[in-house]
Amino acid sequence: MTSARSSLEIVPPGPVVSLRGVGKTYGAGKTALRALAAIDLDIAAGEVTILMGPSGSGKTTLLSIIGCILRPTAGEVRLLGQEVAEENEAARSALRLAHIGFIFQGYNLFPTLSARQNVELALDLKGLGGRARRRRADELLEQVGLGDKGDAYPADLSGGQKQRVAIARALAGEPSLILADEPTAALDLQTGRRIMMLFADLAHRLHRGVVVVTHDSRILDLADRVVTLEDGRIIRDIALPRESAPAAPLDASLLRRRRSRETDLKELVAS
Amino acid sequence: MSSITAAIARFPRMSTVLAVRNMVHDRVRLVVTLIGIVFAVVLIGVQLGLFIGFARTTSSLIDHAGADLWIMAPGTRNIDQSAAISERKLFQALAVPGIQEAAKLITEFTLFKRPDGGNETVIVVGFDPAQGLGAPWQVAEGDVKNLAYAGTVMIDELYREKLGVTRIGQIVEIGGRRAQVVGFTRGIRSFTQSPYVFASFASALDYSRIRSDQTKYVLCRLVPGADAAAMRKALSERLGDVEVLTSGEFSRRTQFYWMFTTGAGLALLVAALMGLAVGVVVVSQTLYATTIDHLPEFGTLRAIGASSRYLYGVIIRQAVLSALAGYGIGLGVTLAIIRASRNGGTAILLPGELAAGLLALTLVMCVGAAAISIRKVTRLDPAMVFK
Ligand SMILES: Nc1ncnc2c1ncn2[C@@H]1O[C@H](COP(=O)(O)OP(=O)(O)OP(=O)(O)O)[C@@H](O)[C@H]1O
Ligand SMILES: [Mg+2]
Repeated sequence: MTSARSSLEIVPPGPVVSLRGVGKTYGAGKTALRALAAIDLDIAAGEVTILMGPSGSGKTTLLSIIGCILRPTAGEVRLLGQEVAEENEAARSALRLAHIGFIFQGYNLFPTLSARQNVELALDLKGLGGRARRRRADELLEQVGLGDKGDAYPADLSGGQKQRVAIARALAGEPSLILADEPTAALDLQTGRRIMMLFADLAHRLHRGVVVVTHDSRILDLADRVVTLEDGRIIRDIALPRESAPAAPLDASLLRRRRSRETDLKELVAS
Repeated sequence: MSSITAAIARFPRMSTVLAVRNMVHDRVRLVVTLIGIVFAVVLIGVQLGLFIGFARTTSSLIDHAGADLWIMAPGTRNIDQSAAISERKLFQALAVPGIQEAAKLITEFTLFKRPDGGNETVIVVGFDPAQGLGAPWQVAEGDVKNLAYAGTVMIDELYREKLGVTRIGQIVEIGGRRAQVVGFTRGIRSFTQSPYVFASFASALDYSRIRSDQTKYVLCRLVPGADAAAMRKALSERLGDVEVLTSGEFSRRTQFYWMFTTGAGLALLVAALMGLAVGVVVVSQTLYATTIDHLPEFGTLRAIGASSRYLYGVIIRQAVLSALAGYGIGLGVTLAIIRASRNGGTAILLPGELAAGLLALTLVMCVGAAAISIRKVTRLDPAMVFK
């Protein structure tokens, strides 16, 4: 069983997830529907990547493939360097547990469990038990600013608080990759921005890869990179230089960071 | 060790916590589930308890007679109805090495006239008071020794009312002969409508008009350490034209006859099976409804990487917890029913093995009922979480 402190493991250099030529067709024959085609995408640790695009463009499908929930019908998916598209269900489930944290639009908390127990459940899945499990759950809630809400039930929490509990739960497995589908859609602007800032913090400070699917253009400025999908293809992939960030490391993405942040954002919002 | 238990109590597996919470979340459904299980446990417990009680009643005379081997007319199917055999079989049996003692016993349906003149049918049990094989084994009032006097009888206190006898010394008529009641036995039931009444062999011959050179059975006790099967073989070879059974064989044969050739046992077993069916249906329905209610959560568990085993674990825990709670209540109700029926005409017996078997059956019933729920969650597509 993977230790709950797997963050101490040495993550191989290179992208957390790497997709090459990924395609996804739902169904077969006359009713077949091509949701994704020829996707090449690398998700880096330490960055918040936003996936945008009109409804039906394939964002959720792409996120599910990145998250080892859905199997692509074409192409390769590498998670931390390991090919995962061909793995069986049980293995993919184990990979999700070991490496990926999920956050959902509807929070998907367990309504019959307290906030602490929701986090403990994820720790239990990782094999952590007893007092250590409870202590770790409290630490994680503390980390998302809900140190005093451990005993509250989801029904008693605001949307933003619920999403924080969900983030604490997602962090329970010390994931290298955090995937969120429309995490702010049900939240007001301020709360949504705070959640996004939490994601940015996780990426920048804890060096996680974070992918957020959103329709919400008002939070784009909190991303490091914005990937836009249309009809199942990536039509735009823009890196936004961090405003007060220290000089970006000299790598291939440097080139993309040249353009001014404002120009990029204006263009994106207009599109 | 106790600190480990304490730790488990304070920090249970979250799958257990989730199972409990999911169950108590919908109180109405929990109550329905428990009622279903309790109903099944009580129905099965009482029916099987009746079955065991009846079965033991049918063979109680054999089981308490103190004999190792029974000699009887060939083709005898139960202790209450049999043909007579020659009393010479007694002496022949006594001549066989390995027989420590032997005695005659008769059972015969006979007319009984109550002191107030009403008629009943009884089964007269005639045993040899000098030997004690086949004597009444529980006496409430009076002394078995007094049966040695001619024209006496002992009846069971359960049938005081039926036989219209309230006290020792009353005079009744059995088979047209005067008989004085000299005592009461306690809790010696008859499976048939006709109560057992005990008398000496000599008096019983008189009451039942069986020829004095005949008997129904010869009961044998073996010398200590003798092999019953070998003795049984030796006796049947030596005696010819009789059947020799061990006490256990005759007991089972009698039980089988009354329980299955009369349909009484089948009816009880069918009722118990119906209880089981009701339990399975109710539990599988409520468990399934609970699973469906919490399906999104199972989907979330799946998505965040819970193994299939973990998912079954939650559902099976729900089933097991329901089973334990339902069994506990059901057993209490069953015991109350048994207590209430203790002084009635029927014996409901719940031996430890039956109680344990019932627990196992309840667990199997509930876990079996979880099957459709398990099927449902294993087929769950984790992609549902993004819908
Ligand atoms: N399970 C499925 N079976 C068949 N078609 C599907 C399935 N899931 C998605 N699709 C189709 O695939 C296409 C992409 O869907 P997807 O959910 O990935 O889009 P999206 O960008 O997330 O849309 P939205 O913004 O509305 O959430 C759509 O045309 C959708 O109807
Ligand atoms: Mg979507």
